[in-house]
Amino acid sequence: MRSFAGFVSPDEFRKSRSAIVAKYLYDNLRRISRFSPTGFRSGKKFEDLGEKKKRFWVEYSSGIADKLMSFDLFLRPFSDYCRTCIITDEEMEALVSNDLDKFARDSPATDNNLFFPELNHLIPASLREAGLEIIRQLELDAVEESLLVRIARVVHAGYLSETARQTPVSSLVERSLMKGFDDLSHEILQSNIDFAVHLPTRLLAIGYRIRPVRKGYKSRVLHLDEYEVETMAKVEHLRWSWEKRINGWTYGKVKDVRKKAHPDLVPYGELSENEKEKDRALVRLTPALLRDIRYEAYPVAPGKISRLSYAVKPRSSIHKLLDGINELSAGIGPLAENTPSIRAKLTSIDEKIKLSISEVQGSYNYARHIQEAFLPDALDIRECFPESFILYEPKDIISGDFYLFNRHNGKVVFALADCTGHGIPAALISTIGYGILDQTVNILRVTDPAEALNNLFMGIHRFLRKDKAGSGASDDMAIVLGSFDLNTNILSFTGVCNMVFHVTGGKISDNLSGISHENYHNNDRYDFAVKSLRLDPGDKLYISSDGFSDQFGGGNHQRYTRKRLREFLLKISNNPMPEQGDLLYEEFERWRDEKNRDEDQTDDITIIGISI
Amino acid sequence: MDKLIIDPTVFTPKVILDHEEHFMEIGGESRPQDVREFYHPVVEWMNDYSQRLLDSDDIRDPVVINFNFNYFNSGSAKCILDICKILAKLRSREIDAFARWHYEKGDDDMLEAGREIARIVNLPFEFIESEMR
Repeated sequence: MRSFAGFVSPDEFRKSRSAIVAKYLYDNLRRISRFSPTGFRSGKKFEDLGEKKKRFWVEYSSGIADKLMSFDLFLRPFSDYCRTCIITDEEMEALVSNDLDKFARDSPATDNNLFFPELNHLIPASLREAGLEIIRQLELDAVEESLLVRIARVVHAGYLSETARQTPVSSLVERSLMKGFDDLSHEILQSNIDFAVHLPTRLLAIGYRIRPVRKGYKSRVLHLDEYEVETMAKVEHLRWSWEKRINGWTYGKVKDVRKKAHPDLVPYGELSENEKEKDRALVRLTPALLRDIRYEAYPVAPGKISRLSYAVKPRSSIHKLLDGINELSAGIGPLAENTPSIRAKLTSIDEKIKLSISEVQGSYNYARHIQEAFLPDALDIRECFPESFILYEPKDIISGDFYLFNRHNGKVVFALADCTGHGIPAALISTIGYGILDQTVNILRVTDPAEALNNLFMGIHRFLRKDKAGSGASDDMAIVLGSFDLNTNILSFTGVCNMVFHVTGGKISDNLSGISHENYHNNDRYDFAVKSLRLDPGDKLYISSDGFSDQFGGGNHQRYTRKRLREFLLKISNNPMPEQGDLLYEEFERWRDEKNRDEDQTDDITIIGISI
Repeated sequence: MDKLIIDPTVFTPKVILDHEEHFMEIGGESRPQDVREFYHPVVEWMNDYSQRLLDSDDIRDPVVINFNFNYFNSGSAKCILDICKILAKLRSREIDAFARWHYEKGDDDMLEAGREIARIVNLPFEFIESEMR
């Protein structure tokens, strides 16, 4: 089980916090039940409940930490400000259905379908009262805490400052961080701070992190397109909703300050256009806000945030097609206004296209899910090489690249393969390839690179070409396969295309990978040349498929080239390994979108970096 | 036998296969979704053409194919290889055939890609550097 410094483990929570949270939950629900249908009613205070009735509440709340953890949400005590993260509507639905499976029979409610959603919406507020905030694990390294107060100050000073007019900003912010939670003007202040501290969250939703602008550098200017504004507006609404709820607000048909009821505590989609526009206007200020705090946004690899529930999913070419269709139908719509038969036909075609696209996309997404399930995850890789990174970006949701890491008997065997083409055909071959290589390395424990590669190619040959006369498997896959001896620091590897670079003593090698082995195939055996390399502590090894170097861009439809990649790798080779992955992605984005050309991704991209 | 002329698109190369002028060129960007579908008629044409050359007894010109790519994906690489193999077969029947590999000045990757293909097939390659487009 994973744990983080300062976090409350589920056991700890059960032992020392859940009883009080049970009481707060009960009290909160009882309070809102007076004016809002919650499927629950009780005249008694928590303290006056019989043991039997109390039991549901205690049992329910003792499972809260476990339940949240299954969504990568962790509990942490806060001192002055509760930074609870946003929880999406989809996650709430999952939490509710989880409850219905577990507690429906023992629930004290008259209507479980009202009761459990209300209960779940009250959890963050009740935790807050117990001194706990909810932190999303994926946000941890993206959000630097010392920065948050600074952002809050700037927000106050420049953008949302009505309440701060007469008082010096800094003292207001500090006071608001210290003071209790009972007075309303304080709540408005608090709201501004909450808006500010979630700036990194909103940017993460569209694939950006932030960092200080380095001295002497010109900062990157963030341009938000409508799609990004809309995504951030949704997240902002979610943020606002949670901020309200954490302060005890709930949904009500009309706004009522005394009852703490608000009509806008609904999903973003149900807001009026006017309200949505307010959210959009707020998030459009983001680039200006960044400039004021001397921070800049830089792109994160979509692969890194694919598990972040509120983040934009990787934009595939399918997605862009859908955008095109939407634009087209918005344009044609008015033209067909006066001809009902054409308009009807248009609507029906439009719906069919959207349905087909969403089906294709759904099936791609599920395929990606499968691919992610079999590929080693970041932890597996760090077990083999603690100092390492992997940049893995499919061109269209699923990838024809795959990689493998295995540590056994003092040896690490690893591989990076690039199957011919991209998309579905390449992903199919990569699945077969991964299966055979996994069998070879993880079950048969083959550690000799040439032997392992021979096994792999013979296996693929058997699968794909039953005839002997075929031209061999060489055209299906480019691969680098290495075996690193942890005792002697000797790397032996063999490569068929792809790239291998070795950085040592401030210099980078030429590409060390071999070429296609077509000529060496004879008598049902491939002979691969194995190279040996001694890796000294501090040396770096980079392995790459050709997707990065073949990327078109540079404002002039030029390929990035291996030469540039080699030089760039050398340039960043002294940075911490995980950061190098980020820098590579940023460089890729810069090249792809230079002069706003927005070139499509050319091919699947994978780069592995290892520090010895 | 007809000429085979295919205009370039964003994803597929320009193809000029002209048996009357004895001119063959494939160039541009080659990354079709279905590589086999695109190259099938090209390979067919090459087969027909080489059969014609073998059947005729009067061949003076060397048979030259011009490759002029600025990008091709790995699937296309296999098709380029297949095309080269057809010409290599002509050589084994004592017909002079070779490939001219054009690459942009400074484009080491494209030069290297050509060299790699040249190493695999039994067909001479002439490398021609062109100025930046």
